[in-house]
Amino acid sequence: MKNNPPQLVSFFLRVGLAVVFLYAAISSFLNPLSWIGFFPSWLRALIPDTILLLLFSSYEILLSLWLFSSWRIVYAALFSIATLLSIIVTNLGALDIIFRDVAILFMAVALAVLHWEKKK
Amino acid sequence: MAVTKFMTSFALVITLFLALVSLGCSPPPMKVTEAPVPEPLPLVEENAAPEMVVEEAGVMVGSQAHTIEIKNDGFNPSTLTINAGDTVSFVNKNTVSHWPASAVHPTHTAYPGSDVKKCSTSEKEIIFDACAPLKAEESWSFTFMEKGSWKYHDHLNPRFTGTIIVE
Repeated sequence: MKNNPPQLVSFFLRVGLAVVFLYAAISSFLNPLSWIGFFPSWLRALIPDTILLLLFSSYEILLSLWLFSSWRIVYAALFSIATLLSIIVTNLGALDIIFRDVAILFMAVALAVLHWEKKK
Repeated sequence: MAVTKFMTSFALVITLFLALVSLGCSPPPMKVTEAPVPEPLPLVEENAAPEMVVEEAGVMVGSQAHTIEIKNDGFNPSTLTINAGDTVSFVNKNTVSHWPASAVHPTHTAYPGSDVKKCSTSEKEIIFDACAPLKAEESWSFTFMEKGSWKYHDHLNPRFTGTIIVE
């Protein structure tokens, strides 16, 4: 890895993204009231809050493990992009809080671009 | 390959460590108990002339009461200008619960002395934090002593925000 900058870049991007999703998943288990408000109201009307949090946290944990694994990373990056984009779009009124997610979104985009050429 | 595996393992360890730290730093689970529903304070316009002369010790003379209603579109009014020592009552006029608290979500530390971690302590009465969801028609009041422009939000719906300007 020392003589392969792209591989090192990929590693750091994957770890950064994975840590974000893992922290959010764990924190939502510990402090659900702090996280449930980020889900759109129409979704909360369809699915009970506890189940919604459980499903999304489980998905985040799986996504973080996928990112750690380095297997088919371009698809993990695309899932990360979709997840972050949906969080940002549904929480534009809370930009004071989610502005960091915009930066993390571009990390996911960078990861996808980095691995897109390898996919080809 | 060995280096890659090691770095991956190291990252996992760091992540687990962060998770444990957050476990240690997270506030204890808050018990939400039925709060008695106080009588809602009368809506007082900002330019209203009469002032309450409070005779009890420890309460500022000349303080006014204000009301912010929480509806399905957020706080109304979302921006309120008051004087130091005035009390603001947050009344939930919606069917779902709301939790008014100081910015920033989720720590609530913008207003001096406030912190969501203090909700489970004896200091909960003096922080800008309802410390629990307000059900329909429930209200919570806070007296603002610090001058400044204080942003707040609904802890259960961070998109709902407001500002209280204390002069």
